[in-house]
Amino acid sequence: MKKGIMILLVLFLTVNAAIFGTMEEHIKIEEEKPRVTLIAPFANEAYWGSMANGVTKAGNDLGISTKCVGFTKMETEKQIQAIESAIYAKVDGIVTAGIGESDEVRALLEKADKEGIRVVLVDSDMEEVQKLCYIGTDNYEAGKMAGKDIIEITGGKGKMAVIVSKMEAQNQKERMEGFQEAIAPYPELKIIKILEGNSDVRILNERISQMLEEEQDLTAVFCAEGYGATSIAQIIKDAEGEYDDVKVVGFGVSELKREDIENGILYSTIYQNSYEMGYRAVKAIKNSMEDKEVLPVDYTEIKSIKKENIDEMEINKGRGAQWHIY
Amino acid sequence: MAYLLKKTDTTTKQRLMQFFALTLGIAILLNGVTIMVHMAIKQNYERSMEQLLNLNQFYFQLDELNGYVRAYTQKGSEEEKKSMESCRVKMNDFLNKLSGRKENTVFQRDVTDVKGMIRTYEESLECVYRYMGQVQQERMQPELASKINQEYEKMQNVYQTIYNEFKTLEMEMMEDIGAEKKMMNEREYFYYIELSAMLLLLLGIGLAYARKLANKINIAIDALTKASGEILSGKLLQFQCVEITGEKIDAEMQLMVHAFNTMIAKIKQQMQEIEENASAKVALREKELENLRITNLLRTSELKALQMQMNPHFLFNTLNMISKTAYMGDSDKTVFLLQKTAQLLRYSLDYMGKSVTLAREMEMLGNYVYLQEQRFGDRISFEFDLDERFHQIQVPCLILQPLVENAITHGVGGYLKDGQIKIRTKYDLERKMGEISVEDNGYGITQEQIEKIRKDLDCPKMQREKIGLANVYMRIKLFYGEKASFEMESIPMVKTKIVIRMPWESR
Repeated sequence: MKKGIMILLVLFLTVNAAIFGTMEEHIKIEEEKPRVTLIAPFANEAYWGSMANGVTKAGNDLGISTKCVGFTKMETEKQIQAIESAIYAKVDGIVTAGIGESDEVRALLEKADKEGIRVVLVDSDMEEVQKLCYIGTDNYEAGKMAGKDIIEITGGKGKMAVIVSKMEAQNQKERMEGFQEAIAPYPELKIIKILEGNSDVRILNERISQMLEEEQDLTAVFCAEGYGATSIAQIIKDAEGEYDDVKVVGFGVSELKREDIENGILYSTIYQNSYEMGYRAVKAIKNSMEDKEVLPVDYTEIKSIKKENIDEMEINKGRGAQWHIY
Repeated sequence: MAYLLKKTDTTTKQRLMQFFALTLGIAILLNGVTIMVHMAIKQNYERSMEQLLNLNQFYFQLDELNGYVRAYTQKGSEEEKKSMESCRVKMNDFLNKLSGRKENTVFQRDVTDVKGMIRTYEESLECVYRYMGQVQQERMQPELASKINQEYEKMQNVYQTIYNEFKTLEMEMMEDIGAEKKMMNEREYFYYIELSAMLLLLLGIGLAYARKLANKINIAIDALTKASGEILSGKLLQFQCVEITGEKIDAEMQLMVHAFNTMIAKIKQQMQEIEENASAKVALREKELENLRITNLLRTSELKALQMQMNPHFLFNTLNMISKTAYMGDSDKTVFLLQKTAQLLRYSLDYMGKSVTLAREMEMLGNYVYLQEQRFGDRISFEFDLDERFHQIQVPCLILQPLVENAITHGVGGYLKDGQIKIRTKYDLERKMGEISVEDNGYGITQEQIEKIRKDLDCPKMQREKIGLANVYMRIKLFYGEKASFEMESIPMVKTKIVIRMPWESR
């Protein structure tokens, strides 16, 4: 019996020592890993959440320490602070979105690039900024895809509106271009209004309601940014049949959009694989650090999700990301 | 068979020891594991608390350093630089402590980021040192001043950024500590559950053990109790032994059962011995009593016989007859008669209570008969028919004389002529029986009288008080036991016969 207890004790201590030993080791390795920071405009949201998951997965796969910074509400100032913080922290790579159209952001990103930090833009590009690469949706193609969907539902005629976040935002511009290219052969389909949401849901709702009231013969709406489709769908639902002939094509995926598509309020939505963006961004940084070739522009897959292929809609792809919310 | 406990036998005590060892082992094991886990968690918690302290110390040092930097850029004194350096060393020390020993990747990463920021800060600080060094050599130039200012601004920016990180780090730590605290509490709760479970387990094992032990003891005790009950109800002699196989009970109980069996066997044996002794004693006593009775009877009969011998009538008649003979002048005959009488008297006195040979008895009877012949003359004739093959048989003395006297008195005594008495002995070689008979042709007795006499013969009172037949009968019975017979038959006026049969075998 005594012998047994002694053996157990020794075993226990050995296991303990092993665990603590590996812990120290683990910390050392963790400190020596290259560091990548994802700075996303929104935290805890399906699209950016999937991207953060992609980043985290890539970090785990490739031996890179990842950190996901996000905000409760997108403010350029916060983005600037986060980028500055990353630069001061001497990280090895910064992954962020080229939204906001701020000169300060551009300057900071260029400064980072100069200091040897690898900058990867995701979701939306800023072409003029010196950086490692852009990984994201081919917004022109996405616009075209949406255009085709609009033609499918309208038959290529009628009055329609477009909702964008900011006209000058590069991704919005590109989507519009692609969209216009797609509908160009149908002169009877006319864009009568372009609404700017500025990512402010309250203002956007007001504007949509106003537009729907004014333009009674509106047949279709293309929402080139995420919130538009959800907003307009809600308004149509609340109106109880009044605007049921308005067809909507949206952008991005969410649980609400899935419901709306199933209800038939939303015809289709363009799915962007943000998970893949996050993953590839980290991989690009890793490749660059190992002096491997990195494509300056890397487009990720897009899909038009309709009722028939609703199963392909992947909301909250992956898991494991932990947000630093500012 | 000697039955002793062997070392290899499983005893109840050993079982108890086994049980205690088992329970103690389990208790120590479970407690040990629990305490170790608890300690590990507590250690973790304490480490986190220590790190929280480190974090605060780090920021305190950073704060102080930053304060000195401002003063230094304005005055540039070496003293401040020294203070700054000491702050820097302490700060980095705390920061390094912070980065070590924490198994949380997110926290680890944030600390690493802060480290990077500190490096940026220090780089600027180095720049400031360099510029300030230049200032000391030369005079302060506006260009240099603006450079210093620029670096200072940058340092302030970095400082601010680091300070912003502080909130994040602190929050993460508090979360960790909270989680650890919660885990500790849960662990405590779990500990109680574990403890109760352990107690229940031990209780269960204890009960199972107790039942097993009790069973083992009970089987033996039940058997012993049942056996004791049987014995108490008086079935000791029928009782065999308590039988229980060895596997069912422990060695001590086996020993006890064995001891019980042995005890019962011994008691039975002793009881048997005592019983045997007692019956032997009773037999002995009976024999003694019988002997006493016989002696008593013999004495009585001797007396009676003596009295009979001294029958005054007989003596008177005899003496009267002798005197008549003497009167007639036949002196030879007188002398002869007196001699015979004396011999008869001597015989009866000498052999009273002793046995004599039948030959001698016959001789004496001859004397008696001679005297009676002289007395009765022709009135009674005596006839002897003897078979001398068995005359060496021992008989009580004076058994024949009373019979003959009886035959005269109650039989032919009253006849004036033709009275006849036959004395006969006969030996049956085949049956080895001797037979003595006295027969007369007197008045006889009726069958009823015979029956009555027979009855009276077996009555002890008669034997003592009545003389004659009963006395003879009794002495023959005493002398020969049941092997002898005494028979009487009578046909009145024709024949009255008394027959004595006794066993005899010539050696």
